[in-house]
Amino acid sequence: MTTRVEIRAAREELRSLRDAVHARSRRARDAGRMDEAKRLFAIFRKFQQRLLALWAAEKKILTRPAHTRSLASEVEAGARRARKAVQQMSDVAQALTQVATLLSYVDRLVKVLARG
Amino acid sequence: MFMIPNRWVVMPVVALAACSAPEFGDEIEVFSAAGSTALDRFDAAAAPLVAVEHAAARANAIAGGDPVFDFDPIACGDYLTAYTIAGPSGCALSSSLRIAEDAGSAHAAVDLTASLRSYMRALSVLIESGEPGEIEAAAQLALRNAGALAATLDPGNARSATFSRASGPFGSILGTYFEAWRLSQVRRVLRQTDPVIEEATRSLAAMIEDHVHPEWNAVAQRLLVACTDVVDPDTDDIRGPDYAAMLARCEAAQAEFARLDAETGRAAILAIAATHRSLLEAARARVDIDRLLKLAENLRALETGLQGVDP
Repeated sequence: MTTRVEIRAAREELRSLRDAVHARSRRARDAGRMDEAKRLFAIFRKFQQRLLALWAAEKKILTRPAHTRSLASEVEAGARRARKAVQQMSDVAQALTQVATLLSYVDRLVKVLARG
Repeated sequence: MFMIPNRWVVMPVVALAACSAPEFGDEIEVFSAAGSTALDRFDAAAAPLVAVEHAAARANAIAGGDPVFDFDPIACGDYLTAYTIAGPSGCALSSSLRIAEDAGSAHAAVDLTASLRSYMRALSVLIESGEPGEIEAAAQLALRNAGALAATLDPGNARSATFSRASGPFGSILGTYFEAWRLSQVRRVLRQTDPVIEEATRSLAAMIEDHVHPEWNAVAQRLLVACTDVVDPDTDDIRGPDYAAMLARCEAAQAEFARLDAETGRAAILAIAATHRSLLEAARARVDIDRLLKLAENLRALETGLQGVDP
């Protein structure tokens, strides 16, 4: 879990820096400051490559069989949660039907007693 | 005597009934069907790798004199001599091979797709389970019977008649309440599972890129370099045929990438996570105005019914 959170944070940080540098490069280019635009764009390229390198490292973790199996068991836990909710809903429906049936019997019983 | 306190019905229903699940079911069905198709494609693409891993494990086991499969002599003996009803399934050869736990195990990835399918099926069942109509009918019947019972016990009490008048709107409210509750269950499951669905699809995408279709990385790198060159400020100094060639390289790389992304199923796998996220957002934001208006109408009818005043 720690690895997952750390990688996500690193990815978001790199993306944010890359986007900021790209935006500044664009602004410099639009303003005609070409040297600055080129210098910033070279930094932008480095960030791109860093992001790719990070993804390559992340892929090694993501495709480890132990990790993949752990993900599979977490997904199964999600399926179990869904199935449990289905069971709860089924219980509610059954309870309501039972109440209706019970009241129906009580009604009949009272009528029989009233006649007697 | 049965009494129906207005508040216990009205308060929770108003709180929950702003959302309902009916049309949401279609969206989940589409997600489940499309997601399963994407996963089937992944399994088909990974099948040769699974076979290679299996063959390697078998060769290793044979070379080392290790067991390749288990054999139940009792089940199979009974089956062969027809003494019992044990069928062919009781006489199966179950593999006892140890698949190497190298990075990028196709076996593990295929197990993951099976879990994802199982989750999608459970989600579909959740959205379809417990017909609100059945709940409504059960609640209406309960109230009608309560009314009949009250009338039998105390024929002179005018209030007993209000039960049967209230049974229709009360049943509808309970049905709506049930749907709102179901939506809250769906929302909870989607929210709790969303992070792992995202990571699971990234894992499958990584598997495609590095193992199932290893040519993907070179194609992606070509796209990045060729099309970044086009927007590089240095490109402003390039004119004529060189510039045309640069544009052509970017276009060709983009077309190649798009083709491979679709063919390998990577785009579809990643779309599973994006769709799951949008389902979660839809479940968070869904407000069904028609249901809400209907609910208000039913609440008014219920209150009128309980007061013993004809609408």
